[in-house]
Amino acid sequence: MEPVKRRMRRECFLTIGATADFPQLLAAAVSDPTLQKLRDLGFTDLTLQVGELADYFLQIKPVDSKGINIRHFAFNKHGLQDEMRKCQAKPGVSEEGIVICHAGAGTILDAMRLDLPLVVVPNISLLDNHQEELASELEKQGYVVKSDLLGLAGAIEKAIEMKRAAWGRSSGNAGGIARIVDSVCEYEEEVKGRLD
Amino acid sequence: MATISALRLLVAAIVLAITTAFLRLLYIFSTIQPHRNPHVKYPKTTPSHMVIVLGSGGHTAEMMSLMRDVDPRRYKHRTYIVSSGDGFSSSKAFEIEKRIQTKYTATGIRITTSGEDDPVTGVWDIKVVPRARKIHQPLYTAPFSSLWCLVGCLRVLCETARESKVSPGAFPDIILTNGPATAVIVALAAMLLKYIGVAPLWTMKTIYVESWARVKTLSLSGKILLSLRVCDRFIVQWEALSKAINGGTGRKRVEWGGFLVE
Repeated sequence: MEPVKRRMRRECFLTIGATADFPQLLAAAVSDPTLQKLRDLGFTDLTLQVGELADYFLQIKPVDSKGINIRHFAFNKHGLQDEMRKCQAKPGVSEEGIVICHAGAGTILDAMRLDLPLVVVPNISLLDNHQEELASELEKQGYVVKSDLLGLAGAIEKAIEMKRAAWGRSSGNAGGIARIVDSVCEYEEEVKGRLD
Repeated sequence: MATISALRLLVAAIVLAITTAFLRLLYIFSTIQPHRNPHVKYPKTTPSHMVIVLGSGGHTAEMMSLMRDVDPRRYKHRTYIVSSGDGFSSSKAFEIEKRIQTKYTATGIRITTSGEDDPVTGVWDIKVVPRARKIHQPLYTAPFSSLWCLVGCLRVLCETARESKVSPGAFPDIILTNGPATAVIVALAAMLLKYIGVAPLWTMKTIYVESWARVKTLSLSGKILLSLRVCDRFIVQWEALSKAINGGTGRKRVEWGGFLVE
């Protein structure tokens, strides 16, 4: 790894989602091995979206944060995009950070759209396992690193060092549903129209 | 002299009714070629009326992404169907409108509100139907609330036809949905209207898009809609899922559309 310049901000953002409680993920995030790893990688800030677990979080918040500035909030009704943007690299201000999230599709998409390193920790206590399937498939295709609670520190390093598949360019299906709706209504294709 | 007994007559009548019902079903589900409106020249150049079924937060956020390039100049009337008690969805409908109108409004700033007509981007409105199943509602009452929801959907679709700004009295051209429970009932209501001949077969073509979060299995709504075969297009976003459903038989029950979200 290249030497880390001091004083450059490097943010780790963690979200447990709005609907499901995931206290284990909070605990894993502020555990000694994770904080030590973040410090070794040159992180300066750790921000956590804790939902309704603010009281719980204050109980487990470590006394020794290993020099990392820890901040938490409950919800952001405008979504998490602004929080995630703080993880983006800005010349002279901040280095590229990382996002850690539960396997909610909306959160994953938010992070991938911003092209950020992403660690996905599926909540295995939920009955429906389709979220875990999503995380596995995204890892297989090189977009994210999937992790369990114990492996979080290692997953963070892996996500930062991996060569990520870029979401925006590879999704390759510009236009969303418009093309299909147009074909069902039997409108002339846009492309053809342009060629005429 | 042979007399025809009442019983024989009854049996004959029932057989005739069942046969007719079955033939009607066969005709409706025939997919050799799409049902077309005889009064419209294809490829179509006239505006269309689109119905969008919205659901809870996740579905609606994904719908916003799916619809990002829908051209409001083509779909000049857009009706959003939301469930009662879901006030959040109404503001989400406005968010979607903001996204699709911004590219086309003359000023690029002002977005029309519900019911307001614009010469370029047309008109959009919201219809509310009773909830198919409330959270924590006991399962045994679900059939009743679903039936109540169906009645609501039938009413709303007929209302939508009456109020159509594209072609007054005509049923909507397209129903677009991505999987809230209400979507199943709306699709059924549309099929029922076509079956009994109230709505022409070329109206209310139903497009279902399975959530991007579904990699290997369909959601409950998806499973129901697929087994009822009420969708004109059934789209999944993961190749693995389309392969799992279509199997190696060459039958194309669902189509793989690639990632339609961004």
